[in-house]
Amino acid sequence: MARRKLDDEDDLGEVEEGEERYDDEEDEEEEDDDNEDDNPRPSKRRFNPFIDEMAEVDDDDEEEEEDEDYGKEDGFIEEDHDETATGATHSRHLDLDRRRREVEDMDDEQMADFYDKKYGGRNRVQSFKGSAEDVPQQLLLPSVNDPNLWMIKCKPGKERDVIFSLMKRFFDRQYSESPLEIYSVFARESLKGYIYVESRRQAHVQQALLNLPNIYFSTLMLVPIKEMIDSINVSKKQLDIVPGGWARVRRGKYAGDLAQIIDIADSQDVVRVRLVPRLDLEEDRDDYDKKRKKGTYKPPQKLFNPERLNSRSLTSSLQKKGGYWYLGADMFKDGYLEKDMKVTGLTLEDINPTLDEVTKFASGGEEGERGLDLSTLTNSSVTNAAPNHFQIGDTVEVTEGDLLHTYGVVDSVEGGSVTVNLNVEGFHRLVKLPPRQLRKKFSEGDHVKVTNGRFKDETGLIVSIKENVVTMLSDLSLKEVTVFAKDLREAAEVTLGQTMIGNYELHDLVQLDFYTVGVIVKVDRDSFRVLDQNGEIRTIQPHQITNKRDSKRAVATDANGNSIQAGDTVIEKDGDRRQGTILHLYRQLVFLQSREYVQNFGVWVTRTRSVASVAAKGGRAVNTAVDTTKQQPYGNGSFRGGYNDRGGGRGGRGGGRGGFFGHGRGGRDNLISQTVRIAKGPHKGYMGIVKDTTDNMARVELHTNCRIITVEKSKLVILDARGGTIGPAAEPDSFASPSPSPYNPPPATPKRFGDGGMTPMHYSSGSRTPAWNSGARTPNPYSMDGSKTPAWNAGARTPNPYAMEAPRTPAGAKTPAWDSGSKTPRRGTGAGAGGDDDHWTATPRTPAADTGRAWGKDEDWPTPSTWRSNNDRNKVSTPGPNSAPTPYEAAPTPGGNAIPMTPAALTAPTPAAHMMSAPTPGNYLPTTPAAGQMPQTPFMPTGGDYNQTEEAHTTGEEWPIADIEVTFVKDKGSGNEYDGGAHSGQKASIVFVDRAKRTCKVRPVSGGNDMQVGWEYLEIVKPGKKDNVKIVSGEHRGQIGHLIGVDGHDGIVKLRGGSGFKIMGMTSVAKYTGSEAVA
Amino acid sequence: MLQSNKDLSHTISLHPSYFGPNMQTQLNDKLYADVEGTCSGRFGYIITVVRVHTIGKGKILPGSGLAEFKVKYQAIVFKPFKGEVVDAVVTTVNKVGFNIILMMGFFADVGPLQVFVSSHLIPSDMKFDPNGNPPCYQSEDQIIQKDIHVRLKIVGTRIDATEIFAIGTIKEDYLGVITPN
Repeated sequence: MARRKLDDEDDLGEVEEGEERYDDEEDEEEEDDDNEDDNPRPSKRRFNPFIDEMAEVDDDDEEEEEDEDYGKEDGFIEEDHDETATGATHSRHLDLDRRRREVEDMDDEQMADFYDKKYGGRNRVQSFKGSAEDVPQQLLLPSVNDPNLWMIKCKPGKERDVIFSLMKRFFDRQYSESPLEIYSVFARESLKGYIYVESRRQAHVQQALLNLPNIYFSTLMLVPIKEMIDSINVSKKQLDIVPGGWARVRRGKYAGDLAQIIDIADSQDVVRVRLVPRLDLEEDRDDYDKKRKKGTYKPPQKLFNPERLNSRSLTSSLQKKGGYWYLGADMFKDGYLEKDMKVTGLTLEDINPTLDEVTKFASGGEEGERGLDLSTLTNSSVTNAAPNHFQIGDTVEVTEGDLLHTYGVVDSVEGGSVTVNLNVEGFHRLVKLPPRQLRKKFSEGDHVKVTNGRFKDETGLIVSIKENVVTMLSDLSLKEVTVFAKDLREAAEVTLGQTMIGNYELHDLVQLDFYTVGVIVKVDRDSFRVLDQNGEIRTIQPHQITNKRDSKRAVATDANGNSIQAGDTVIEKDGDRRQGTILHLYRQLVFLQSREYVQNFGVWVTRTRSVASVAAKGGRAVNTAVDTTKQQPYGNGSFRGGYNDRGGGRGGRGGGRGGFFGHGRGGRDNLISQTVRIAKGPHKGYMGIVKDTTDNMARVELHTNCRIITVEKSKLVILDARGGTIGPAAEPDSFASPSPSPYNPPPATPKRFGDGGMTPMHYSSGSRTPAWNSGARTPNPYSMDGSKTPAWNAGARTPNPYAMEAPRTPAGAKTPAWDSGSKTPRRGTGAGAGGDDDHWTATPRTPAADTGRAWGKDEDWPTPSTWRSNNDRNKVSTPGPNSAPTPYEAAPTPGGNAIPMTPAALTAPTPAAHMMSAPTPGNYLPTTPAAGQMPQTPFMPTGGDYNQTEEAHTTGEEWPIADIEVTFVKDKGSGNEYDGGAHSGQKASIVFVDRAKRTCKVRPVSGGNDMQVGWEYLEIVKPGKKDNVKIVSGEHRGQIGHLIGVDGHDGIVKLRGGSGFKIMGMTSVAKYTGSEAVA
Repeated sequence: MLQSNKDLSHTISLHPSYFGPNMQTQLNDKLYADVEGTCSGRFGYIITVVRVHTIGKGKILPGSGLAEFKVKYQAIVFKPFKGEVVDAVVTTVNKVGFNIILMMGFFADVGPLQVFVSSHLIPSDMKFDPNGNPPCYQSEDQIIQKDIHVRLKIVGTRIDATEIFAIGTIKEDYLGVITPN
């Protein structure tokens, strides 16, 4: 970039004005300084037309300014610009300290004044050191009031010539009649063949360029204001080149290699870089040159060592001059190649050198592995963190600039800068800083996660921090990992890097081929490192794994004859006597793991006979006992017994699948070579033979065209020899992932009941009754203890009460339900089993058997009345002779007649567990539905079930209640209709109930005025399924709910706020018209 | 706090087959078996149950039939904190891996807790002697090898749900080998 400043004293450019202001602002006390600035000379000095850094106006001018101050203070002559960087820094520090003191001394008002004076009423601002945030860059952007920028084509390569001749012309005509009215001319290195001219008018540009050689005059064009910035900005990058910085080579043998910049030529376009040489020392020298030209083969990076040059031809051309070794055209120093390269041949941005690369440069010429010279690493450009490396909340340290060594927390990250809440001696202040000045700060012991690079996603604890280089102890491997601080962030959680690909996880036992198994010891990006049974490490792609094996249940014997299993700690009997935890057992082999060993990631394989359980004496037995206690001790029997029971149960249930063990042990999938049909997907309906399987996929050879396709196992149906369906190839829940718990009710139940040909369902309600056995089975009450009674047995068992009487009596509470006729399915479990027993023992007959003479005569038949007195009427509604309409027909023999006739069967269909989520309790004792833990005894949640509310409201109970829907009907008593039948059949909603007058205020649904109507003219509108309802009678009167379903005369209602479902007579529910939420 | 009595609670699921006269004993046994020696991220290692306060009423779990008991008990727990100085017994002094330099340092046990002391956190005058048998760290007046007692300071902990791991330092005054007396 070359920008020529053409202003002079007479033509005060904006910049100069700005300078003046700047001085005013910055150092108001330094009057002498101001005075000097009144003299135009200093500004001329600063903007020497031959050396100009206009593009860097802000920073560089600033520094110059300071240098100048410094110089003055020390009595240097003005022109002396030869100041060292340290001097500048020092002065800056002094300046900062002074200013801070000043600021501290000021009170708020003074401070406001100060800033007002400082920034008030100006439009162009020189940046103020150390507080970029205070002067928005926007203020510096060109506006319409500023001169325009014009672009004109010239001969490529002649840009400088043109500019110099323009400059010459400018000075020539300066005092003439027609001075050039242009402000600046410049060209961009990156844009060849164009020059830019800054001027107010196009005419001025044309005048200035007139008759200038090498210019294409007609191509003059205006640069839009928006693009002006860009046209100047580009050159910024060049100045990023600092000695010690890093770059990458773009082309040639070293393409992609990291290069360290040593020196920059004055011209700014050539730099000397240091590279790790890639010398091909095997070749003769003649070839060496050729090779380099060809560039196809890249010799490995290796430091240059003259003593290792064996080849004669090479040594002969080797010379040493002043610390450098010369080999042909190459210069070597300290083992590195030093080379002059064009800037254009280097990439200077986004270098992101890895630690490995940098280490090569840091090892100081020796091949020392650990001789990390940290001074090189602290260089900012190494750790040049992009803004996205910082996340909000990171603790950072400032590594450059005035605020060096201050700490803060990242407040926000935007664009190219990071806003940090800095803590400066207790002051908290938001400062916007470039990322390169920041470094993430950690302390030893922090738990961190690697966010970038080779160790990405590993977490660990920091063991040491040296400047930018952090060593942490990885959680996963316990290896020490050295990374840059910029690639770390604090981690709350532990992640071990990636530990899973697909179904396979770290430390899984996997089948590799028919003969080989292995344990995954390391998970890479998309492959596994597997330690196979021979102790070799293999790299395996996930698809090469046949399946995952489970050795959780495998048991083996150790050297002492004790049984060992996965998870046990064992010690080797011989060899290193290493101690480890058993990961897996496989035949005679045991895979062990210990964190303390580093080979193969702490995993090794040995024979079961060569290890001994560490806790062999006693400890283990206790352990197993504990585990099994939790899992399933069946009955009070031994662990083994229970285990076998379960296996058996499972096998049976699985329909001949061969149970769990068959799968776990089988080296090869049972599915292979089976004939299957594809049940889903594009190949649905096709038949084929399974050739190979993985965990969840199968390769199927189709019968039709012998193609082999890969299908998910779940989409396959196994066929028998004649093409009949056997069953699905994979059962996702019960088979693929066998749950240790036998309590697996949902899938189990339907199957079992279906097998038995039973009717477990109460169809309309969807609930299941364990006890509604239509005849297939006889729940055996004697096999159970306590209160488990399959209650509703409509006749499956011996219908003759007399025959069963003796055994039944001692069984006590288990007996009430077997007589279907009597509508006394049960008594409350707690509610006096004893008392009931008394009745039963006292009356050696069932009520039903007696009905012929007993019904209606309470005095002859004590039982019903006793019940009514003994029990809460709501709880057990005994159909008294009065209220039950049909016991007579149904009653005579309990087993003989069918259920439908009895009111009990209709209104209280399934006393047990209606609507319970778990359908049936007894799913693993096939003969007793009641073996599980659900309350098997037919159980009546509420009293509402048996209320015969039909009678209730017709007999004058006060059913009306607000917010229900009613319809106009004839008064049943008088036969009259309200309003002469004008509203007959209309629907209305009750707004208000007047109990005294027995009237309601109703509002017709169809609209219209409210009416006062006598109760007798109204009738409840029966709600439909899924309607919102209000309960009008019974103990739940007034509650609202949701009608889930209707079953004959019963409605299944979910009351608001209630957890379960209630069964209500449909007469006691009314359609709800209010607006309250029901759910 | 290094070790403390802590009131904790634990939920035990009991199979119906245990419902009966021995249930209390069963529950106690189960509690001991379940919690003693375990480690929770929140409380640290549960060393031992001191006493059982209450055993709640069993609640039948729908669907499975297991009963759930909430047991409140008091236990001695051990949770390491950053900055804590503890005494430990060295278990392993590390070797150099096959091909790469892996980790250097030693492991030490503080009761159930495993602490790793990296070579970075070992005073620089202690040199690793790979040829020693067993391998050790050695300085003029100290030697660190297996079964030696050391006093170390915990500089960081990693607390998982079921495990605590710590790294420690002996690179400070008054840390390092201690002689049991």
